[in-house]
Amino acid sequence: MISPLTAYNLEKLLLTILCTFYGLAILFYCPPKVKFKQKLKLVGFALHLLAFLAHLFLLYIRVVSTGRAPFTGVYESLIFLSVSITFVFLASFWRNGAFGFGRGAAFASWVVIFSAFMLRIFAPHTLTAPRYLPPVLNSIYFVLHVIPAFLAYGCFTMGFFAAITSLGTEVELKAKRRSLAEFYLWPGMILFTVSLGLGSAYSRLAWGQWWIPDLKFTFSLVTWVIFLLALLLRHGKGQGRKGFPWLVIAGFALMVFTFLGTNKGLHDFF
Amino acid sequence: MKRQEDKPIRKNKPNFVLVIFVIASLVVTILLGISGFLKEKVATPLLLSALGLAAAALLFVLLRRIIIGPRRQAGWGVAEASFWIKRPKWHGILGYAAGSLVLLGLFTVCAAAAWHHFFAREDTVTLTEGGRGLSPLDDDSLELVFFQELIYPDSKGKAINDYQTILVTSVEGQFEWDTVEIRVNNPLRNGKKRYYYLSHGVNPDSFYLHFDVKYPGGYTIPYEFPPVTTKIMEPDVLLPFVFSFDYFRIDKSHLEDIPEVKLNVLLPGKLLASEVMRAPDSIIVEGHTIYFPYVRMRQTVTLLCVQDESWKLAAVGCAALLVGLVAGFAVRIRKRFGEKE
Repeated sequence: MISPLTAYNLEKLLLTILCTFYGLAILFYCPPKVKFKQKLKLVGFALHLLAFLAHLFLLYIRVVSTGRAPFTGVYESLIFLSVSITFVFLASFWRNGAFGFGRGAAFASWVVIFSAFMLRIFAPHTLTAPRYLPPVLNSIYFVLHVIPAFLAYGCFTMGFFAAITSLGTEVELKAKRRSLAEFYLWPGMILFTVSLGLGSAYSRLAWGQWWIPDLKFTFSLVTWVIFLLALLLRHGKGQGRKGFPWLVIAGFALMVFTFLGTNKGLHDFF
Repeated sequence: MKRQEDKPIRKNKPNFVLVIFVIASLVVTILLGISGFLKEKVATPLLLSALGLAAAALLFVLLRRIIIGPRRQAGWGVAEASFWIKRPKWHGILGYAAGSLVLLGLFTVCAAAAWHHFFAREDTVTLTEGGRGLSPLDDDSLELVFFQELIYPDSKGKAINDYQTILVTSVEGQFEWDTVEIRVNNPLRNGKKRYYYLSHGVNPDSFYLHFDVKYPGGYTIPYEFPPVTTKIMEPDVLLPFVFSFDYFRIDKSHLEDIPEVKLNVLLPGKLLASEVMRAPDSIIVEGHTIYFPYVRMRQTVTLLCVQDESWKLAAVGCAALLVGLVAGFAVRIRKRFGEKE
């Protein structure tokens, strides 16, 4: 059993290691044009994998020291989001064309974990130190609602990278990347639907209403609709089909806004 | 002879249904987004308009999809008829079913939201500690036995979510009763009704008389009684006397309000003392010192009473949505996500 204070002090070191590993992984994923380019990419992948393991350890000590799920507050949420993005990449890198997005996944994870690191250094400790779980979050629904949401965010982030890189490339590559974006969008949508459904059930348990016009709930619905439209238009023809990557980009922008900009009302736990 | 499958039917014609569906979806998202920033009075009609529009668009597309049938509907695609009259394969039919299920699920969730808005019954009831109140939904009688506010170290007690426990006795009819604890994430359930903790406060017109009794052994135990003058207070296990009150009043003629009570200390068949006590007076009865430090305003708790069955419809809709999405994903895996399209 690790004491919360020991774990909290250890986190700073682990965050430094994580930022370094993710940063190095990005560098190795984007090697210069040399003979052993592919091997360098594999080193990047190994570093990415190491960063993921260190990340899991960081989450483990947080869970063990606090005895609760590690996503209360913006600091913990950033740490969990970062690991979710890497997890989604590692769970799907085998897919044709997906390995190339390792740099995207490492970059996104690095940006998010670096933000958490900055919070840890500069923000007041009340924002980053382990907190008691507010009674309303002391429910299995909390875990079941949040984990799919973060995994869905991971899928949408990967889908975003695939969609944005499909713009302005050659036709064959474009088709491949859009197909990959769609591949990420599907599990993302399934997980997001599960999260919204369980969130509604949770809301009924805690506040008596499954439909509450809460800002985060409303914008999650908007994000959901945009991604659903993207999936529907992907199989349309003409202009609709061309709009697919733009809808994914718009959905991702909405997702970021929903994650960071709507933490009021019932989601005011930050 | 040309095979029927190869026959083009509607080449190069714009699909107005798809256009309308996309425009309706975008309008719905914009309305939803705007409603998120507005106050409830304005947001609710906006939200209902969005849901109405969404439901109408979904119903239209779903019916059209059903009429067209799997032979002309392009699999998962929601609003789009195929160029070709195809003989559907199993994945084509599954894609068609998946798309239809998603539309049906979405429509059901919209219908459930409308049901919730129009037919859900919600009201509040405020209970005073030790008092009873009738539920506004029907004849449930509720009694607040005890309220305890647990404020967590980080929370500063700012929100409902920070409080933990109250106890309420629910009396149903004449014979059935049960004492249950209502707290966050644990509402009182009675049939189709739910009672949720909403807020708490104090009742300025209702008091408890607080007495601290110091025993000859040196220890002190607090007791509280309602200022009822018509009854003798029930004896306590540890209290060797019985109390009764002749009158109780708050003297407001001074700078500070002073509670005043005429206390009778009794043993069965024997009056031990009868004194007018003004806080913070004390009297000594048979070696026991009885302090009267203050009166405590009784706490009140407001409960939200809800009777809403729309969640069942919403759950069915959500399940249909999920099954549709999973089936759609399975079909797309089978078709390798159109890599070679």
